[in-house]
Amino acid sequence: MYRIINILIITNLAYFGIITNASAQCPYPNSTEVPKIPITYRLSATLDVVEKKVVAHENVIWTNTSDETVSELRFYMYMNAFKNMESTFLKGSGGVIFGSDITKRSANEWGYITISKPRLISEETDTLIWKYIQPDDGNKGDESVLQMILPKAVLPGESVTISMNFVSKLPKFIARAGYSRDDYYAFLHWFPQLGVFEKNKEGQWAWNCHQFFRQTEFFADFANYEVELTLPEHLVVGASGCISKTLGVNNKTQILKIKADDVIDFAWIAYPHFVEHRSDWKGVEIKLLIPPEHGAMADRYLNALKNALDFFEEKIGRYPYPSITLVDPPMHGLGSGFMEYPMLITCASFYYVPKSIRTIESLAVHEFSHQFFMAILASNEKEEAWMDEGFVNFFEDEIMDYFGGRKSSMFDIFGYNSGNMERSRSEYTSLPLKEVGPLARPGWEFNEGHYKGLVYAKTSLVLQTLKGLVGEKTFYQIMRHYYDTFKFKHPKEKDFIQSVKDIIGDTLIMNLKVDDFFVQTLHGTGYCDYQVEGIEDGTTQNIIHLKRDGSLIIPVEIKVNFEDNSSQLFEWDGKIETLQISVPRNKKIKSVIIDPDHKVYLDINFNNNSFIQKTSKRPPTNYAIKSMTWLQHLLQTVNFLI
Amino acid sequence: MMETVKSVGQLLRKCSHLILFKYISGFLLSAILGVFIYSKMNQGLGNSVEMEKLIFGFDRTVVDDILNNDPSILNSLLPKIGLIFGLYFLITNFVSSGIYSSISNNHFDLKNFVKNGLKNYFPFLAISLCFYLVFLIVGFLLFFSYASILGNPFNDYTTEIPFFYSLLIVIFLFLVFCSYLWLWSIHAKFHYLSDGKLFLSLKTGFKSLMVNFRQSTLLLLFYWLTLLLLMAIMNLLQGLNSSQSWFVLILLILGMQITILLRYFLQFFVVGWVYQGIVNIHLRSQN
Repeated sequence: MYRIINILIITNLAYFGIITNASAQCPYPNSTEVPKIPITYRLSATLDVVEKKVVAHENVIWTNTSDETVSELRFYMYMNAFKNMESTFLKGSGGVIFGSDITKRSANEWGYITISKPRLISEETDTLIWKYIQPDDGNKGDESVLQMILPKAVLPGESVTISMNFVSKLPKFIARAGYSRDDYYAFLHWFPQLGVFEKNKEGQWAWNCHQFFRQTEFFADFANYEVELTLPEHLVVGASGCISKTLGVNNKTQILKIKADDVIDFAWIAYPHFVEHRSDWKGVEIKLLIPPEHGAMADRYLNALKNALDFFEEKIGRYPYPSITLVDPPMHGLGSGFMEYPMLITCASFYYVPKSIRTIESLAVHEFSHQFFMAILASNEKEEAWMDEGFVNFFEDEIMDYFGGRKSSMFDIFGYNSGNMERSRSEYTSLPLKEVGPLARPGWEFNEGHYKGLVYAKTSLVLQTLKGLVGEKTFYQIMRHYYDTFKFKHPKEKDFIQSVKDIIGDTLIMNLKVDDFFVQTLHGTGYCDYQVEGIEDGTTQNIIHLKRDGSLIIPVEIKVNFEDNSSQLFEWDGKIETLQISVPRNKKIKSVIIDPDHKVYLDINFNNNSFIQKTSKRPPTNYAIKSMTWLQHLLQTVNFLI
Repeated sequence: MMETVKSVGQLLRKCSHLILFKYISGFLLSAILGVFIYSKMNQGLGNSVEMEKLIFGFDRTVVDDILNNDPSILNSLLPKIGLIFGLYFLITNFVSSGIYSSISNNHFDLKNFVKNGLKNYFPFLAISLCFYLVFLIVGFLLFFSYASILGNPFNDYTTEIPFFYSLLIVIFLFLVFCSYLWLWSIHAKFHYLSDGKLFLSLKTGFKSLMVNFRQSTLLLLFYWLTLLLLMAIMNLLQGLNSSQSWFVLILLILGMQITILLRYFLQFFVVGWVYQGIVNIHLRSQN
């Protein structure tokens, strides 16, 4: 009896935040900058480790912040993407995801989500009417969007509270959410989640709640979450938000109360073998959940996260959440890796990764950067993926290169090296550029592929070019202004462009308008390749012949260096395809360089941007000799039996 | 032991010009690649200031732009390398049969080398192909059975540690097997030269390897340690910022070529040692 009373007291104290475990180290700041949050979720779920599902209850309070009356709600039911091969998500995969045939699986290896007894809390109503809808492709087999009809329209400023039970069953890993051996559970996109009621392109208020496509990610509104999870005691849990833990009856279960405010999603991952590593960055709790075999990566992850936190604080703004949890899945849970959720990121590593190969760090920096471009600046990942993945790719490049060197931040091994930004550039320049479409389009329109090369890499190069053209200081002024204006909102392309204009005005450089730059780079398919064609000796003048290949027009500088160590700068708006520059014959030209500082990082070939009268023959000799030597060794090795 | 080292040293000195021949054939064939890379880099960069960046070391951006601008480089590179390997295989077989015969006959003049190289060309080719067949079959069986036993490393294990270490062990075992296979092939070739019977030489070669097993193991240990040392030197040289002056570049070229030449001598040190072992067995059986 005493024990039961004790448990009750402890449970209640814990519920009111009097006894907390982790939350003491994870204080939630009182943010005055966060706009009114329109949604509150109260979720309570019990994990059934045998059935790989949670049996749960959801209370969601939604406030109509629009000036329209609303008569329906729309919910994402992402887990139904893994229900069978009829879902739009799996149809789009062709049956193979990450090289695995997902069609050959037993009935209990599929996932699903179902709801029951949805009703309005405020009134004595019957069960609400609901159905699955397919607003994007009409595929009746897809159940990733649920429409709930309200008995009474919600007026502007009014709130409505919905109560429902739901069961969310994890699939054996297909992509992101799932379970694997040894009680590894990734509850990602696991509950009925409201779409975003916002103005569409036509300026009409409507639900933005797309079906789940293979190529798209997620888009949800800011909400406050109060979550209670009941789980077996042996599981170690990482989640979005601050966790307080109490033990259940007989110490066999644990009850976790988790609070996450001003976030667009809530996710959690559990695994019994995680080793927890904790650290702190200026009051932000850093938690790493790493399987024992990846223990050597802890310091690398930690340094990468702290570098990213420092960089963002200096350049954009301070990380506003109280904690960040990094989950490194075991190899069998790799399907949950490489993802981002508010205050929770998932990476990937291996038992042994040499320090000179910095994929561990770049992945951690990439996923962390999503806290800013996805979680705080919550752009629509489905319709404008470039605004999160592209920006994130840029910041990953910037942070990695800043701390690891522009030529070696990615890898530096056996004398061969690469920077992160160089990697991004390579991903873009190696695309079949005459065939690829624009980068700014919804994910489901990337039928021809090249998603990564465009959405990630090209966006990064567009931003790098913008930085080159306006200068680093102004560029980060723009980014800070964009962040300050749109944090905890859902910025669109026009909002970012307006942020640029707010800082530099309508003109980007020379006669190139800001709008023209973005129309060309985001919506155009042209590429840019400036070339020095040659120098012609004239009788009184030397003529330099320059050419622009590709239809992407960005003004450039041309630097002419003379033998007497003087130099002259010219400007070219790039509008005409060829340009001749005349210089007096008596001044001997040493070299001509278009865009000497590589400001136009979108230029697909820097090698033809310049002409120098005398070049060293040492580099080609060096590379020829090195490749010869490697081949000589290889010949000896392969022919060892002769 | 010292006697053997001395004898092998003398043997190496006597056939050093023949080893040099093998080295030169490898050098000349590899030069096809070197010239190709040199010309493509010049073509891709021409009079670009980007060339200067390569002076300070590898530059991915410069190399990427060369390759993107002329995708045919990679397309034409692979057939060239294939051709080089094919030619080297055929030439090396001739050189090896010539050198083995010279060692066996104790005649190291060029005439004898060419004559015996041609005479034993096809039997040596057949022996080599037999050993390559064994190499492929054992390699396939080892890695195939390993993969079958292993299952799916992404699903079937709590951690990747067993996968990581077991793969290292399998690779190590395969290297050990290859090392003994190599020694066996040397034994077999010398036995062929004395018996003139191709398939029998495989058997007698194996027998004499077994008789010399302890010594062979020590020999392989010496070989691998020396090879690792050479590779470490090679890696150090690779790391040199070699484009900054012609002096350093020439030093690099010389250093690298010396490591390759030493590797050839190391290879024939092993060949000579095996031969000496066979001779010693023969002498012991006569006594």
